[in-house]
Amino acid sequence: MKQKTVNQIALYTGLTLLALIWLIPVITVMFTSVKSSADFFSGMGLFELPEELQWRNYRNAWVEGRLGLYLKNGLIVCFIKVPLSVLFASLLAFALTRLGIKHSRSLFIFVLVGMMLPQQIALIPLNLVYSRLHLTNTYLCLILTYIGFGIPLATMVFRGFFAGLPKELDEAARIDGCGNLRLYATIIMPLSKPAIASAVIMDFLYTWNEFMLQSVLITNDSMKTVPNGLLSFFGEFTVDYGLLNAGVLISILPVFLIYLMFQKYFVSGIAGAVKG
Amino acid sequence: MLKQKKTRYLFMVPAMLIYCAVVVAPALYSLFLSLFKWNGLGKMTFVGLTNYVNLFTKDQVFRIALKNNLIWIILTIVFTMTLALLLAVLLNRKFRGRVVYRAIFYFPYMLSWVVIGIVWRWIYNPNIGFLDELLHFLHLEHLSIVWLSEPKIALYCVFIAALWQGIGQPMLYFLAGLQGVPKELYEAAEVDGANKAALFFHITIPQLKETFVIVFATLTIASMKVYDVVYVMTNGGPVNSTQTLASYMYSQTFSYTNLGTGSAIASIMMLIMMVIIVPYVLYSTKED
Amino acid sequence: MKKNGLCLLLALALMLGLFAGCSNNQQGDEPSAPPAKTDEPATPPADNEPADPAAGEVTLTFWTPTWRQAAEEPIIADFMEKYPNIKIETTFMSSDDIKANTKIAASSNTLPDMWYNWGGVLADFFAQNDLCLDLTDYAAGHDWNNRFLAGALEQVAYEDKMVGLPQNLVGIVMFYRADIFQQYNLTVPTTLEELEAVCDTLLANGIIPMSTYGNAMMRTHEALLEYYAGEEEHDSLLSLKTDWSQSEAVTKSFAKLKEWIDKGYFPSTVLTEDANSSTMLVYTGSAAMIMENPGMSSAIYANGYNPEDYAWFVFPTGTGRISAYAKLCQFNANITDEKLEAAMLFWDYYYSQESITAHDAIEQPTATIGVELPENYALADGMLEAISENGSFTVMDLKVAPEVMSQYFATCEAVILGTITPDAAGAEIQAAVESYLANQ
Repeated sequence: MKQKTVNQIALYTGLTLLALIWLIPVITVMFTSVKSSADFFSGMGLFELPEELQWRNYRNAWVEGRLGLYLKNGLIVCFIKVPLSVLFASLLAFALTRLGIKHSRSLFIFVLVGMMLPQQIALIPLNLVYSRLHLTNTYLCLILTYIGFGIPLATMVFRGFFAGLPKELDEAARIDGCGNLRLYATIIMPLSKPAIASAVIMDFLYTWNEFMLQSVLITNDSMKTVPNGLLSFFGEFTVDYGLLNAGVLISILPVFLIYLMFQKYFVSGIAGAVKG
Repeated sequence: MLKQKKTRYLFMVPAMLIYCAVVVAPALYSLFLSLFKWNGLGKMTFVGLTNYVNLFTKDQVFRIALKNNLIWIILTIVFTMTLALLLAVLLNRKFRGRVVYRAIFYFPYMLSWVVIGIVWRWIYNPNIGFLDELLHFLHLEHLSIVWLSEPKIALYCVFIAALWQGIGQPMLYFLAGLQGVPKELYEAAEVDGANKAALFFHITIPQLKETFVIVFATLTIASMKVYDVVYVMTNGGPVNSTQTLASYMYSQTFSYTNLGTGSAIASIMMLIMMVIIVPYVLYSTKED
Repeated sequence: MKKNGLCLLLALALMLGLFAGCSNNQQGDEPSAPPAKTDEPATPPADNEPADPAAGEVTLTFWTPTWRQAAEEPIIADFMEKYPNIKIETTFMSSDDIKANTKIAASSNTLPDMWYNWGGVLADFFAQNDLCLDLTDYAAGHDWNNRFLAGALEQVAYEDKMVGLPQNLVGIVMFYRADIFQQYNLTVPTTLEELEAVCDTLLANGIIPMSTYGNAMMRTHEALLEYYAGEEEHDSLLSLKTDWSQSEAVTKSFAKLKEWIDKGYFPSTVLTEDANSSTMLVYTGSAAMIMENPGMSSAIYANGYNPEDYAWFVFPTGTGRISAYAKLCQFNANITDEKLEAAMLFWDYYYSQESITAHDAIEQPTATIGVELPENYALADGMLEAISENGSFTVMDLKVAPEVMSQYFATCEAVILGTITPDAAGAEIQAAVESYLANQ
């Protein structure tokens, strides 16, 4: 028992130290978000707070930066795109791991290769095709493109998790007369909450923060999503640090909420998945 | 059973269709472009492998960038992956407050690069920087330098910022992977009297085989494509010492409008990633 | 026209198949098929009247930088109120995006009706490829010589074309802290020796003489290059006609730069500073001088500093010439006459005294003749006159191709860090020049 307490203390001390190191830059961001430009130009230290906290940086970021509008666009895209992406990728991963498809490893590598394509290089052909199809400036083109680029990562996550689930599950289900779709929907997916959680978190974050494709495919200001909206805080050569940091902190709220909602599915191991 | 066999390919259709249209087609197009000299407009001139040959024989910046990317991959695999695994294992234990710790380590991954670049430049700044205050506090002032201006260490300074920001993602995958490890395995081993280290090396690591595939592949790919962090912190300088393939590709494509050369760099990047990742994936996913 | 290649056809086919089922969604009013070509020069519009209402609605698409959003949104709103039949659809983009996205749009034929550009090589790209309207005839028909500053018109000319409408004429001058100069009895230097004497005095009093950052080091160096090379050789170097490796002026200018670095004329952190932190050193009085563009005037004002503590002088280049460039608006080569007429009405309004009085966020000084500077730009007074009196050379990074500039910046850093000697610098740059020229 003694040993356990010592271990516990060592664990807490180590983690707390590391967490503090991790927090230093985060604290800088938070402190910066309540400073005015004058505070910077007076040479105030990074860990000093001004006497008058500039909460209006948040208000200005919201109103002048029109974050509300951009947030709405981002949420529309994410709420349509992320579930579709998770569905398509998990179906694919299910087929690759549990349906005995020939060359499933080669197919997996084929999907993996897509992640290796630098997105910048896809800009020109995608813009060409979408503009020919009159699809630029629509949510549809963003959603399709993001699904395409999100599929490899999500597929990997699901494939990795599915491959770890014991084969006995399928055999038992097959004996009970389960078809493919039922096996996927009633046995595999319910067991895969941790995989779904990490896929949703990562996919949401990717979609929320992507701005290279978006800046080309969306030229209508009222259709833009958050990252491009934040750029309006930049001058030609200068930045309003306070406003930018406030804007960034507002803009990560939805992602952080998604993270908090889904992280609870990481709960120290599945029990009872393997019986006999 | 026959019906089940037929329908199984349908599961792949939606994902594969979108993936091929949006990702594979542009990738092939880029491969095709790399054989041409083209400024994005007007006539395309077929030049065969000239773009590739020039990069390897004449281009100093390309060589630096290539070297930097390879260093970056090694640093990421050695430090980011190890630390992420360690954190995931620790944070997978049951204790009060683990949710908070997980959130702290994941938080930087959500922040935008533009802000991270600004903050880390401050940290490294000798006039206002946290790092130099720390050295001062520890009476190590003599070690203080203009961190990001030293061509020999600038890349490593940038890497530390990337490590800080990027640890959350692999940690999350490892956490998800750890959920898939059946508790029974540990219980059985403990009955046999195995110690913690033995449990870790004989159960945790082998059980995470599939997760390692994800982490290894995503980290290698991210290292090969590293761009934003360099762009915001050093913009490739000083003297090109932090130039990477992705930043150089961007310059070639959009500043110099050498689309052929830009595409050639992209193709080389993809090839290198494949050479590193594919054998690992083939080995790890071998059916027993 | 464009050869799209087999793979693109494949992509197209796949995507067409994919979209067949769901293509009736959200059809926006994005640019449709390119309009009919109008090869004849634009007919001169009636200048003072709004476009004929009977002509119906005109919609203009316009790409412009985010850092002008605060200034341009009210202008556009006011303009559209005044001319209800003209609609301007604006997209604000970051500096990098506007550079990249106009090129991407160029290769898929989706350029907007008008877009912002910094001029120089960046604007010439569109002229070389016949993507922007050549305004030579329009300018001749609309008396541009009396509307815009000669210096600005010079900057928007490319070969025999006029590549855009000049918005601002920007000169790089040395801003300094007048209060600090007074405190140490310093006078404005008129020669390089005097400048060095000023720097030595400041240095002796613990003040960093000149602040600058990263690539902005080019501003000091190109002034030194002008000093050592003189007009003719400097221009010839920038147009890549003179061999950089054979030029003594190149060696001397880099040697002087290195000498200044070693003496401590610049902050020790010069390579890692950014625009914000380098001006901050001047605001806090840690540094006394900085080479900047006129935007510095409004920044001093906007950040609440006393403009009387600041003033500027022309870097003593010997020839007196000032480094300058013109910011401009380019028009789509396929723009219809009707749209062009509407666009010109917009720009007439944008730079009218009425609009400038109403919108003090407009970037100054403008290239338009006879416009008064608002209070926040009072410090920039006299800059345009100085440019026209002293003459100008195009700022290096807009005159020299980006490929060569990358090498130039790296060489500059190497000289500063001492990894190469100043006499080796010219050869490094020349190698980049030759590989660039061979590639053309």
